[in-house]
Amino acid sequence: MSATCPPPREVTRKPTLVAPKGTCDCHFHIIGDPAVYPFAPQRSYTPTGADEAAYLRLAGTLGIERMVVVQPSVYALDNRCTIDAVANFGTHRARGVVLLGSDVSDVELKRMDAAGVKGVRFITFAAGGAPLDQLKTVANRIAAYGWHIQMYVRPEHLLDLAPTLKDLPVEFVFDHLGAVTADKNENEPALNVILKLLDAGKAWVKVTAYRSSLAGHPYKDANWITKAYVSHAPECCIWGTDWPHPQMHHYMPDDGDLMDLLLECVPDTAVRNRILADNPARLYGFA
Amino acid sequence: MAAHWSTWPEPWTSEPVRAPHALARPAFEVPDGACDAHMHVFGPVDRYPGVPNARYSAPKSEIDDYLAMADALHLRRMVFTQASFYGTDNSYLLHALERVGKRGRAVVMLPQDADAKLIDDFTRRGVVGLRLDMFKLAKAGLSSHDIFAEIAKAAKLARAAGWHIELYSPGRVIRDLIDRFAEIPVDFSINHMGYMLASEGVPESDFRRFTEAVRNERCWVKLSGSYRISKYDDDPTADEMAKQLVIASPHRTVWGSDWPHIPICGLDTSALLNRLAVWSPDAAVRRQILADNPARLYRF
Repeated sequence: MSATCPPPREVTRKPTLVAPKGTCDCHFHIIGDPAVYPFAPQRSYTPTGADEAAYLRLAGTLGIERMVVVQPSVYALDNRCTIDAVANFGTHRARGVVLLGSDVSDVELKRMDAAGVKGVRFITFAAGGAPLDQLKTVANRIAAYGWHIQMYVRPEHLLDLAPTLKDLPVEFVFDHLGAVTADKNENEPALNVILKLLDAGKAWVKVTAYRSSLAGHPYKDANWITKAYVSHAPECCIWGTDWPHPQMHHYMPDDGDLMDLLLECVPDTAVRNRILADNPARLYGFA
Repeated sequence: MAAHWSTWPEPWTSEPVRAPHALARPAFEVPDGACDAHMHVFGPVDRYPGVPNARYSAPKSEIDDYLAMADALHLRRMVFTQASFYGTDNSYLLHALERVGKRGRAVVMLPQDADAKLIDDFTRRGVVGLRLDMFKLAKAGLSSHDIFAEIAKAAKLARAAGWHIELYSPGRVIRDLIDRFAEIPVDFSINHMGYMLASEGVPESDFRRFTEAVRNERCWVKLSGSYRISKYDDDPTADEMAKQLVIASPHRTVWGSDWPHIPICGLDTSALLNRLAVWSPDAAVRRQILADNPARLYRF
């Protein structure tokens, strides 16, 4: 367990990018009161509070109208905070992605589905989620609900999983540019695994780029990865803030800056609007 | 109606400063650690006579006059900015700086022959920046290229000292420099929201480019001198500029009174500060501008 994370910026710069109607933040976390929502003892970091009111302030500045609350690893399989947050935002504009294992009950799945959950997260960058060997079982359990599996796994794990994924009855959403880092190039095997899944209509990619950067702020060294995905499959790219940016100990990114990276990587407004609004509406079932 | 101050013939005769009891009521709660990032003080004329041919006469505006105003407005911190009135003689500024101790920082103008020893001494006393008078350079007919060479020279000195540079500049000079912001190797601050006046041939389209350029991480903007931009009360230009700059760069804008508001020193500093509530209705943003941002730039 590491030191407490610094809080996100209280003030966000208004981006130059004008968010289109229906803009959806497909990746952020709500961190509630630890007295109500205790953290898992086995966790990779300790976040600071990040509640719905603070998030909505950010959303107002950026022009976000829809939002997908992603279960943070620090709560492990206790999804109450995330599901409560979806309820607080309201399912007219919010969805959730949870952490769970293959032993989840059907009653639980039904309950979560009704609460606006659309996917299950597998993560190997932090402790807290179910191990990857449960992925196949989970995929088979959730397929009936039309949920997807959201992946944030190291490239070497992805290469191991690649032969399995394409035959599973669910779609996959890759976080953080599929965890491809800026020092790689277009021959990177993990990138090509994801591109193939995109070709097969089995995958979506979050063009949230800053964690792929090695140079740090303003993170432009990762622009090539965003461009690679967007030019390959603009209809399957989505975007998220990753607010409150856990574990950014050295420099807390400004979400206005992060959003404007899209202006550089995706200069075509029509394509950008698909990424920000139309694609997430399809994936998460917003009317 | 008397002629507007901006049309007064130079040298200007400054009005007396407003008494603290005549200041407007605050429109918002000024946060702890609030900093006036741009102000001047003037000493008794017999001991601090100023340069020959100064553009204005100094009003009675000594450090204690300033502190009476600042304390009334809950402005805990202040950045003394060397006035052109004193040229490169920073002695009254250093006196005032010593008087306020940890509450103060200063931005100085340096003589050509300033050596490392002098600069070290200044740094120890709380000097954090070097002021560059680009009005003077522009008036001397320097090209944009030559002005940039002066900036580069100042930046080199500032970098060695751990200071920033303060660009005291007409808007058209800033406008012509926008494309070279990225080449400035130290933090730099720009006075009076860029000071881009349509009346001086700097249209709004240039200001819009400026609002993009201020995203440069070394570029700081002073929300000051609104009354030098909007010269009449019903002119919304300064309010509009300030709002746009706060949106464009909430993490690197600071607020400055420009006290004693030469030459219209009777201005109500409190009313100027109250404009911040219009420019930024959000209290968290105001705290950034008044306290957090200046604490970083001026190392409080």
